[in-house]
Amino acid sequence: MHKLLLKLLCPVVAFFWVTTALADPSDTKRLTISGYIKDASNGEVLIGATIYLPEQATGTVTNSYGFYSLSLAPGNYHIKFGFMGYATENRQVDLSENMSLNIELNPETKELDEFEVVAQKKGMDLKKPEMSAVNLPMKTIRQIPAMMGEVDLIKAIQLLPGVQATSEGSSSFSVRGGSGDQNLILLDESTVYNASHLMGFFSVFNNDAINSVKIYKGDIPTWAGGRLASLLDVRMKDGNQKKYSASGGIGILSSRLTVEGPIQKEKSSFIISGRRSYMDLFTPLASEEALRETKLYFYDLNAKMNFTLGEKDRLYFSGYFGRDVFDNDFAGMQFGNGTFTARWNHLFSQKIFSNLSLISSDYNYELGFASTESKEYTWKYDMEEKGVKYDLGFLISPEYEVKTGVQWSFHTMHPGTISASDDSYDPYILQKKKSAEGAAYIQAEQKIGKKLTLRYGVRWSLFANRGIDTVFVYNKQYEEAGQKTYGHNDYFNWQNGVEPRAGLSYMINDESSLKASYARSRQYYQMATNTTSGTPLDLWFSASPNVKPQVSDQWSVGYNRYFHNQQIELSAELFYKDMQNTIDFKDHPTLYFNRKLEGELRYGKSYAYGAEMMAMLNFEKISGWVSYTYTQSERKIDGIANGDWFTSPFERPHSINIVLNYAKSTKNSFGINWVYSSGQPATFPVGRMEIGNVILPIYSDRNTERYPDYHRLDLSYTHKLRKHGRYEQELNFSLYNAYGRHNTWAIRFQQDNDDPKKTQAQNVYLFSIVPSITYNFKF
Amino acid sequence: MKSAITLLILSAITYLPACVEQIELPLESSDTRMLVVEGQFTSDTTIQTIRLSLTSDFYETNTDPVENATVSVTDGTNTYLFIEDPKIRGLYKTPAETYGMPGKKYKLMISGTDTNGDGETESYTAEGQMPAMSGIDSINVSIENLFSNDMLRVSYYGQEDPAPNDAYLFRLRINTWLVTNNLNECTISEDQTYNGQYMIDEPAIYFIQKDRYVRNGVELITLESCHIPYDYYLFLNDVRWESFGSDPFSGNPANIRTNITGTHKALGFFAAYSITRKSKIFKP
Repeated sequence: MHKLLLKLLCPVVAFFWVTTALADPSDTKRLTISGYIKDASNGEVLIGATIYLPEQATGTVTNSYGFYSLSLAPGNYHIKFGFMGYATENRQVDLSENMSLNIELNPETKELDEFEVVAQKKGMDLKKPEMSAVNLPMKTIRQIPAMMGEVDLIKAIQLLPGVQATSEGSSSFSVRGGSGDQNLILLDESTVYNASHLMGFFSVFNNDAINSVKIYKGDIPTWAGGRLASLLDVRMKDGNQKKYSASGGIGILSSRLTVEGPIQKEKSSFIISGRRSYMDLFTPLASEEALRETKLYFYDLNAKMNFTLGEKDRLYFSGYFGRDVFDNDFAGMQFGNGTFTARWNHLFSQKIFSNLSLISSDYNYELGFASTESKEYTWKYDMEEKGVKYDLGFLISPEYEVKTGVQWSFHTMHPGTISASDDSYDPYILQKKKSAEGAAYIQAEQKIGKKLTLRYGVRWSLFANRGIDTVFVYNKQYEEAGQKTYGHNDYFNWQNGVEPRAGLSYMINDESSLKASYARSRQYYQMATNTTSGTPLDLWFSASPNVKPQVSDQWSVGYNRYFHNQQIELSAELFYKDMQNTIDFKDHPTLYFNRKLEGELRYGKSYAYGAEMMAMLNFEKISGWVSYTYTQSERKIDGIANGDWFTSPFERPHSINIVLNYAKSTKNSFGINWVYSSGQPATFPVGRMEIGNVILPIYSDRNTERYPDYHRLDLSYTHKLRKHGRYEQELNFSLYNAYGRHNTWAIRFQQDNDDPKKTQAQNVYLFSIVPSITYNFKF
Repeated sequence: MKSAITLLILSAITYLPACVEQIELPLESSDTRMLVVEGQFTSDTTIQTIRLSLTSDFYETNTDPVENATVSVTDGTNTYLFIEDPKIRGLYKTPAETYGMPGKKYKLMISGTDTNGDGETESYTAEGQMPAMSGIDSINVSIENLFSNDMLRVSYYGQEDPAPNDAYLFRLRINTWLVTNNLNECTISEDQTYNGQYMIDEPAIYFIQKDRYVRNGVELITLESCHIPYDYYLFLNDVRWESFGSDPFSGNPANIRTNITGTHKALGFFAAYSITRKSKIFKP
């Protein structure tokens, strides 16, 4: 294994060493200016802020920690520091020696500054050899009409081209025809395995605690991996470094409160943000007795501390904990995630940025069922990941930077234990599954001349199962043909693969560029679900001697252009994705409490292709976007649909999103969403039979039909109330599904209650018009 | 235990505030009809029955019987002829006092049918082995208040067969009346979670409404425990999966498995199984 690693990495490192030397022959003549860019009001770092040198037409952006570094020849420079929604800071810098320059930007937006920032951003975006990535500012997310008034970043992400909710109301999403478990969701670098509260109506992300959100739709940077479809990178706020402050909101179904402030002014800070829903306060008013006795709520808590230890070191500790609770006299269920990240940023020099992260993540659920007053059954599931990551960034020059790093994590999945409260049975315990996953990566971004920018890199991923384990051997009919047992800490089934990823950007002129990218990804962990809706009952499983890693190759080309004095940004992309070792499930699989789960799996290949078009609008009073997506996605799986190609359950050929905000004045703003998509693929009966007094359907091939098209209009109105000193307040009124369309959540075919010989089709829908009002405050 | 957990999953994840409306949804139809077999051969000494019918379009209200077929079951030594009931077409019966023996393999043979109307007769077969009698010692009956309704709970005590892949179908009688008279009201269970254990107060039947069935205050409650072949359990599991209807939690709809083979594709199942009964006088 070590020989293999050396064999693979040596040429890669040699290549980067040579290109580094070639890219910056005048390195000794250059000086470096570096620092952090922060929000002047609270000291919060600004991720993705632009540092632009207009005379040289070059610049850079801050990284995930708000850090930037520019290496320039000695001289006098005019530098613009900008971020959307903030006043641009102009600095004249006499660069005669290496210097550190921390900048604070004022969030009081002026119209001219806004245009200026857009202009800088345009230059950066057009040149950046990054495709299929969208950075959604939290300010924009907060303007989008939200269900129950609860601003939700995942619901906002679902409005982007190429991204779809897997079903009505769900927090699970499909990217370019992929399944929900093919998305890597990171909160401060920790994996969030289930992003849903309340069956998906809310996501686990509390918008008050979030600093930035960025989604990569396939062209995932080399520092991340392990999923085929997308990376959703969510970063928590660090906390106000300057003063104590609080913000929150009171809604119909839930409320939230955030407190933040300095631990030591300008050097360390904390943030604590909590939410709780309170449907259980209203259930005692229900007409049905069963509902009156039911508790149904969720709560979550985000907390973070950061410490600045001199100029070169920073420490961050952040965590999330959330639970959903459903309970009555008969049954109970709890589920939730926990994440923890400890990070140490260290500057070896102004050009070399490093980050060491210790990461922990878990997801678990527990169900209880009272058989009698004295007897209760309990089902427990848990999974956890513990890992370490080390990243290095070499900010060699504005034209050339290299990122590299290594990662290792241990995974433990405990598929389930069932026990009875009275010890009348031996507990039923499924074998714990342990495994390890590692990766090393290196990536460079290089500007060649004024028009061409390249990004090229490679990720090498590694996986192994770990004992104690008993693995079933299956024959070609997927029947058990033996067992193999592995001892304590025995590593087996080593898997590894090289994942090259590259991109380029070519500036056609100052207003437009062409882009292209290629990315290979490998996925070693997936979820056992054959549904399109997220449930709390997740059952993740790893690669094994029976389950090969899923592999995806994605090619994309795109065209970006700014129009109308940079107020309209148009992007168009074509993509093709080829996937190997695609996993599906046989008909009527047994997923839970099945020792032979792998015998229920079926394997094959799949593809997706499509086009995405998006116009981002940034007018004085109107902002938002309009997008159209066309997608085709099919699978060919052994033993399903007679081994023929069939439509992927996540394919929606056409979708349109219109997301607009109209800021009528500084006090009043209006939001509107209109969402349209083709109905989800479905399998309908073509006949029936009668057995045991039950009418049963006979189906044609899988996914040959579709549900009715989906469309929905959401409206919102936000009114800022009078400010009292530091106390700011606003009221938000929203209408979800304003014209009350009964969008299909499922179509059922049922026997008529009055005449059991008759069968009928039923449309099951979740929402009609959902009005809500939320009061938000901040002081 | 697993059936209890299954009920829990269903109750938990279907707690969504969903609304339902009837819709007109045109469906494809098929000109080709297929044979549907509903066949059992049990350890009861009784008239054994097999029902033959045809598939139809989904919205049709009638199920056409398959008449004038030749139907028999053989264990290799004895052959039992099933004669069509003149009053209930498509229902084929043996003489009274016919019974099967646990451990024996039974083969169903059907001939003389023409399900697709092409003028040529067809033949079909299926076979299954009858499992041993299930080991139930006694039952317990109680009324439990679940979801604010009084529910009849019938549980049992007994040694489960230590061999793997045993499966059970539970039916309930109140006095002589079979109250679980369709497949969805019965309970099915397989022994993965309790293989070889002595079952103590293991729930077999739930959710039977007290007011509907226990009327007179004193009733004879009988639990029928059918020890069924594992492949029949999988068939019944498919039946439940499909008859509860599709939703985003239930996974892909798919055709129900069958063990009927023959001239053309056929549907349904033939199973041989043993039945054990335990009764208790119940005074709520």
